[in-house]
Amino acid sequence: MLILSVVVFYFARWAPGDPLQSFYGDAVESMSSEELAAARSRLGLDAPIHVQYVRWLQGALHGEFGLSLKYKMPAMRVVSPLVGNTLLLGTTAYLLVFLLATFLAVACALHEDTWLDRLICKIGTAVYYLPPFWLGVVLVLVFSIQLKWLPSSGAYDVGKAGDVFNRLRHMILPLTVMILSHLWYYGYMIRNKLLDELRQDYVLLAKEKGLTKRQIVWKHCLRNVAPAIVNIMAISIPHVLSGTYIAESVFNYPGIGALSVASAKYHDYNLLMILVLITGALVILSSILAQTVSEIIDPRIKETGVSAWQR
Amino acid sequence: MRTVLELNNYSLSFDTPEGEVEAVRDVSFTLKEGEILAIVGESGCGKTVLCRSLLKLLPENAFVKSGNVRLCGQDITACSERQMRRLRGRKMAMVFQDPMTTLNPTVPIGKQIMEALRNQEKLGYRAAKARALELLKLVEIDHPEERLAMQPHFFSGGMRQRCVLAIALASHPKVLLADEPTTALDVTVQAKILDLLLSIRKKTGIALVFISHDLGVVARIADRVAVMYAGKIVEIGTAEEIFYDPRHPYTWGLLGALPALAAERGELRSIPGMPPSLRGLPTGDAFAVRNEYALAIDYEEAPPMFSISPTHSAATWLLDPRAPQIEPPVRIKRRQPL
Repeated sequence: MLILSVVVFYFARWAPGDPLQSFYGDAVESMSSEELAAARSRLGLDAPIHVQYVRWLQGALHGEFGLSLKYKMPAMRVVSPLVGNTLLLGTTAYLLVFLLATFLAVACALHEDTWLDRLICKIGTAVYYLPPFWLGVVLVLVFSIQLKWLPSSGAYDVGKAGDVFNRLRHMILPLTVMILSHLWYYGYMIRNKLLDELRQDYVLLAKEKGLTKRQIVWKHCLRNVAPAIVNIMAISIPHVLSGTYIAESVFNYPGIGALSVASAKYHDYNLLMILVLITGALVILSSILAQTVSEIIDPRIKETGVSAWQR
Repeated sequence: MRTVLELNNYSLSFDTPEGEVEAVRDVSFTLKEGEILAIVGESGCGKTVLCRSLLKLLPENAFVKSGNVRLCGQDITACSERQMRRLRGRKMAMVFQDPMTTLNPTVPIGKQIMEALRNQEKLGYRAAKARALELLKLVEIDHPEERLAMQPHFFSGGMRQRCVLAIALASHPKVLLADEPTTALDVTVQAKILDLLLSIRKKTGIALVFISHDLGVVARIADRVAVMYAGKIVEIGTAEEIFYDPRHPYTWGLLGALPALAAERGELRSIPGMPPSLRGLPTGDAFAVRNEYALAIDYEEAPPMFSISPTHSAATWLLDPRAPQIEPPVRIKRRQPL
């Protein structure tokens, strides 16, 4: 986390552009150089980068993340209402992606090398390679502008923040983009893992017991693939999260993803830092969680450090 | 004694992109209740494929080319997957080679045994559990109650094979196909598993097809022996006949390669060459190129089965009355009883 914060802190400040622009807006154009220098020192932007960093770090350790330059209020206050929105969108997409991926993978594994499997594989791959930005724009064109079925942006209509149905309607399009752009990547991974499992000897024994292929895939193979799926899920959190950020930007969904992009654009350093830290924390927490869950599913991991599917 | 398993001119091939692979060619034998038939041969001669094909556990590109299989009087050659599911475990069961991989590593042993019982016998949870305990006792596993809940990785190889055996025996099958059940185990454990198989046969009257490449193991357990080469049975007879009156040069070669016989000369013998690829077999006898006694006709026409006694027959032109009389090598005749 510390390393992450240092790297982002430096890189953000090296990026060309003037943070004062976002603080004062167009007024910067008409300010004299003395005024600019005064503004800089007031905001602490005139000190060398490492001094700025130490200052920021001291604040951060006390829970003070500084002022957002663009919104002119504490960065924490800007971020906190949006975290919920992102988590809602991200988690829903994440769970749906893996749920659907697993179902698709099982369907493929059951019908390996038949037309169904091939069709799913081909369509899945084609859809996966559609750029999410483009996909988002197309969806908005069709469903919001042409058909007027779904809203094109925001998390809820004005005054309807508590309306669950309204929120869901706003989530449909971002979710669709996120699911379509991640689904087959993981679906294909799980499909191949399942097919590997189907080649294992224990499948023969299960068959010899008189089980159907369906029973074998659901009861035996999926169970054995589960730790692998959980591991993939853990590794994929940053991937899906970045997908959330893209979807948020495309659909103007008020979440920390769209905000991150904006804060980087506007040189809103303090805001960017807190967003980066939140993202980093999420990634680390999810890895710990995944390790714990895998150990519960496959007790051998705890004993040997490697799981069965790595052997 | 009733005949439980009967193969008539059974041939099985695989359809592959490189052409047809004839894995099993014209195999015929019968198996009676309580009998142990061993099938021996080198790796890749089609033993395992034969075994798995009987239960239809092969990939979809395998197809029966000719002949038929009768299990307990019923012709199962053309059985659908659905019909086979009813036969598997109930009439014919199988024990696989490697007990380390045939059990699902994440599922407790008890559950894996009970799965067979609940599926085949439609037993309820309690009944299945009671029967699973019974089975574990039958295969001589101590403390079965505690072990039901354990996963396979707590078990040794021998114990795992016992568990696989328990699963195979769950629904009182008439025929047990044992595909090299002791090959992956060390020697002392091997002996115990063999004794167990014999005692189970005594208790249940089950018939066994015992596949092995280890003639020492076969000598210990088999009533009858079939020697397989390149997908074909080249010699079949009672264990006595095969071990003490072998007629096929390939059988001589196998027996000559036994380490027990190497002691006198201090070196291990082997059959020169490799078994042929089963894709595009040559005309004539597949063994001819490795056979030091091969006759000209061996390269032109495959030998038929010559009957030596009602129980003993071999496929080699040496048994044709017109062939030169060739004695088996001295080392085969002189050897000590196994």
